[in-house]
Amino acid sequence: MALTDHCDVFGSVHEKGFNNVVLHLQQQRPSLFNYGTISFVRNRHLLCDQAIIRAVDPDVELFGNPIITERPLLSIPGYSGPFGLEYCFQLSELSIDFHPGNVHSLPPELNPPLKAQRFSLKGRACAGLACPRSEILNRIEPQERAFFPSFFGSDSPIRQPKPDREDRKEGGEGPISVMTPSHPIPFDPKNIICFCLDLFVVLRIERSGPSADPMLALRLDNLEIVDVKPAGLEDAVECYLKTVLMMGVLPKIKLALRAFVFSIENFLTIQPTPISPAVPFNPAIEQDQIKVFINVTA
Amino acid sequence: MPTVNLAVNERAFNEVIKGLGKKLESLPPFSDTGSFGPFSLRYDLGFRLVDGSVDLTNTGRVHIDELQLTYDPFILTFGIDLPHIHVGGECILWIPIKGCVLHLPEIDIWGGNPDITVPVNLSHTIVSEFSGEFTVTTRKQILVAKGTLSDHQAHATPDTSNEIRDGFRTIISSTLPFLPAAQVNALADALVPYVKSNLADKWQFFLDDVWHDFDLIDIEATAANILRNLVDLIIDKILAPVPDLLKDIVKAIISPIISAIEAILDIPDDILEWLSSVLQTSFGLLDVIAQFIINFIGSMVPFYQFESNYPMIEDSTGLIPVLVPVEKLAVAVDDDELTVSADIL
Repeated sequence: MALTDHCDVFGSVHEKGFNNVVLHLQQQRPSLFNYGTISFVRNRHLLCDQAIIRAVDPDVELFGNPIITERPLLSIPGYSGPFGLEYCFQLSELSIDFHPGNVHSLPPELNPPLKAQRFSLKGRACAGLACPRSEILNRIEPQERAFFPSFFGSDSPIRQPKPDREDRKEGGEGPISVMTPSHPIPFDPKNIICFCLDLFVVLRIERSGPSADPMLALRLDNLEIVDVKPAGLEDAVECYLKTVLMMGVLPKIKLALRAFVFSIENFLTIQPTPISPAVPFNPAIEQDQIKVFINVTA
Repeated sequence: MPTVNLAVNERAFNEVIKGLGKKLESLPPFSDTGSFGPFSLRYDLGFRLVDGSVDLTNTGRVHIDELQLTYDPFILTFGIDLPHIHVGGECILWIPIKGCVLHLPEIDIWGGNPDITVPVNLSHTIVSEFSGEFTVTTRKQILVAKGTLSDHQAHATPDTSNEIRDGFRTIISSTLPFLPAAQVNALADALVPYVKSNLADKWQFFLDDVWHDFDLIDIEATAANILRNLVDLIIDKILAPVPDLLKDIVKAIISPIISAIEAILDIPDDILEWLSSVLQTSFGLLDVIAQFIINFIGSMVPFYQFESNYPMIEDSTGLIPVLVPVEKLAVAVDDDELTVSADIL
């Protein structure tokens, strides 16, 4: 059977191709996948996921390219001083699995095996917080003035001692001033708290819109964050992510099919093969590939 | 299974040819005039693709079958500019103060340019025909000059070596041993810029002309066209009072007869093309020379090349490009389709 039995031009890309491209992207543009504050940028051995760092292409350093994208220090709510916490964030193990599923071991929550015309995406997000020791926190904690609450008004027969000058609040209730942290809180490298979350997403490509002007849309079938405890937290985070994807992300990546109709100087038209019993899906996700069927008309 | 496949079938190729025909029809005719002393020649030339198809074969060759180009319009206008003769105009009655009140009549002879024009209308008469078979092969170019450079270093380093030039010189001097060294060097130098870029490994696509047959004037088709034009003219003259519809019916009845005559006339050419296909060689001095030149240059200069570590994402801010290794690039042709496949490693 020929590849072009039901179309004029056929194109396919195997999941291995996609995954290898992502791997090369990860190895040659590591700064897109690794983020951290100043100490992590200077000491990349402190990052949580060292596998992704070991895999970095030697040419990245040879050409002086960054391995980690530097992020500002994490500010501490309620504290308006110069100190901030150090942290790192990494994305790894990004991969795609076209039906039939054989790259990812889908968690039971996603009802494996992968259904026809579906594909799954997997990613691992690792984050690490450089947790300062209590002694250091005690040493650098701000010396705030004591609060002098006033329990009774001036008309009250009950009298309070007047506050000291330094306890007196000057300027009243002004706006909370927030300083961008500029000094990292010293930390013990052994005290970096790391955690990784595995995320699986099952998607499908759907034709939607009016038949005169159809469009291709990505539809979310399901999503799972593996092993977050307690279960309620996992469900809540998943629900939130699902909502973000369905409301904020996926609707924005609809593709009008007519955008894929190309006319070469009005004498040759190249367009996707219409859906028919012979071509029920276009693009089709099957045999570990994404397949595209195209017609050429003079 | 290769990770990337692209297949194009016969119909797509034929639609491209049909589209090219439409494009040619939409182009305005080319016109120009040349003067050679008192003589001048004007031409109005347009192109029409009238026939031809692409046939993919199980032998791995792409067969272009009788691609016929006719010229419509094709009008040659010969002109002669004769010496201008001006007679008369002299004053025959002159009165003082008033001046000349009566002139002889003026006559201009051959005052135009050109004075005599002879248009020769060859529209839809002459047919050129091209047939041939081609194969596409792929080859990976790995330069020794790359040495131990990494892929990104090779991508960023221009090829300043003479490796390609020396390779070309060797090919040229072994193929044309009689050519003087200076000519060999000049030819190699002329071809090098089409291939040379950086030190990265490259996949190259080469075209091989298995055989071809190009007739600037395809006698059989041209004769059939002359016959067809003649028959049309006779019908239009004889049946002048008859409604056009009836004339068209008569023409339609006669048309298959002319086509049959054309097919019979074309039999020797068909046999020659079949023999070319079997023997994998062109016939006719010009075709043999053209085949030699195409294959000679085609063996050195690819018609397309790309880096085997394909720069998928380039960046202008100093970041290295994301190079994706492409391996096992292959082009295959069978009876159904032409397939390009590759592995992304």
